[in-house]
Amino acid sequence: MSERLRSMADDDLGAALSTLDIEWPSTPGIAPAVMARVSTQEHPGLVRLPLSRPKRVILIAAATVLLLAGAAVAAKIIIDLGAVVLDVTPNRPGLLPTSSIAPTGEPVTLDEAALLLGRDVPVPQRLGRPDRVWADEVSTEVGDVARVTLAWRSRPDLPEVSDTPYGAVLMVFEGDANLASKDVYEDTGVLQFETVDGVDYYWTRGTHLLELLTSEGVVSVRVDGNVLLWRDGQHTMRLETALTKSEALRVAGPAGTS
Amino acid sequence: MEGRPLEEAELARRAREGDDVAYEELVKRYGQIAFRVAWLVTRDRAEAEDSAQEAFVKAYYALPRFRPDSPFRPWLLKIVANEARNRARSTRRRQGLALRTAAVSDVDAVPPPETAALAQEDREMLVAALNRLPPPDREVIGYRFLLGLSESETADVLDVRLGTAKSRLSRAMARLRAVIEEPA
Repeated sequence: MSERLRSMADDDLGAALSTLDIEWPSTPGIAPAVMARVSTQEHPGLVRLPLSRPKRVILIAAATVLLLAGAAVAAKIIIDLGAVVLDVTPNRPGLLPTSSIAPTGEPVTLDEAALLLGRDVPVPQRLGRPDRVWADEVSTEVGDVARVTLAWRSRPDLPEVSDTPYGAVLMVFEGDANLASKDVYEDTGVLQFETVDGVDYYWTRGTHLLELLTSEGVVSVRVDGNVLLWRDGQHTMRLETALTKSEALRVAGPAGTS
Repeated sequence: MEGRPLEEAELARRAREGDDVAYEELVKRYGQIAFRVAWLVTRDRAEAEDSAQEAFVKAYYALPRFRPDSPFRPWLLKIVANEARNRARSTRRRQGLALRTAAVSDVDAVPPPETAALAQEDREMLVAALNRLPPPDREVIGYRFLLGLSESETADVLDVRLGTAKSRLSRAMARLRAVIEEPA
């Protein structure tokens, strides 16, 4: 190597690098392709994710019923948590899907998930950093909305959720567009309501049906784990574990950030 | 866009509010540096083009999440770099394409012959040393010195804190120096 380069101080070496005339590949015309792709969709700034008033009314009514009942399983209750709708029906159908692993989207980093979600990913402090992170976007009538799924492998304090390698799976749904519905069966399932530190939580136990809107369409899966649902700002949270309700409530809050 | 070019912040604000012409201006303004950031990561022209294009589309849909009081360019380049890294990871096309110095073609820009010969030799040696560095070192040096990003922008594109970016750059420069000092 040249003696001149060897004798350069760090600052001079940086300056020399800055003056290098690199033969970059010619830059392609990106703008036409980008604008062609985005012009076919509604502008994101115009997207609104409203929770319709009738659904909110149903939520309040249902919550009142559940509060009165303490631990309730009632027929024909629909609870709209925004992205997730809970539907309590009298009887479990004879046939449920065999799959108990919900589709999760593309593997991403926590930072990428945060970018997609538009906020730091709410990682429950008690669970620590997730072992897996996935994300996807689903087209709805109110625009594309994001769903991020975090998973933690089973460990001594997180027993395995049936038929999965994980001890906890947290789904974070953006906005109020209905992306998932859960059918809880009165004859085999349990739905309970509890408020902790001002946050309303819904707890379901027992096999139930989860229908998820994905980019591939609606996917139905059987869920055997215990599920805690709540709202965190503009997001709906769904935590599936094999924990008891009190343990799951402890795990659910407070969250750290990505 | 007519008259005096709009400032980045104004373009970003307009784009965020639904002005597609403003966004197109941002794509044109930052298309080249976005492509080069992606190329530094993927070292593949087609992958870099796809990465940059995809990143601009993702950035468009993420505009409502962009904070108007922060600079647009590092926010965009971070998305570009993430997209390029994902593609590089999945395609494994990280070998084969090397940095090269541009051929001197502008006669008016050519310095006196003895200086030019020396400078060209040094340039080629420096680029050869860069090409021998591990990809992460080449990336951080590339962002900072070849693309002229500020330290803060380099940190954003690497998605690390400023202090981490500085220490990565320092280590990369030390390794570059070690390569330079190796016997020919």
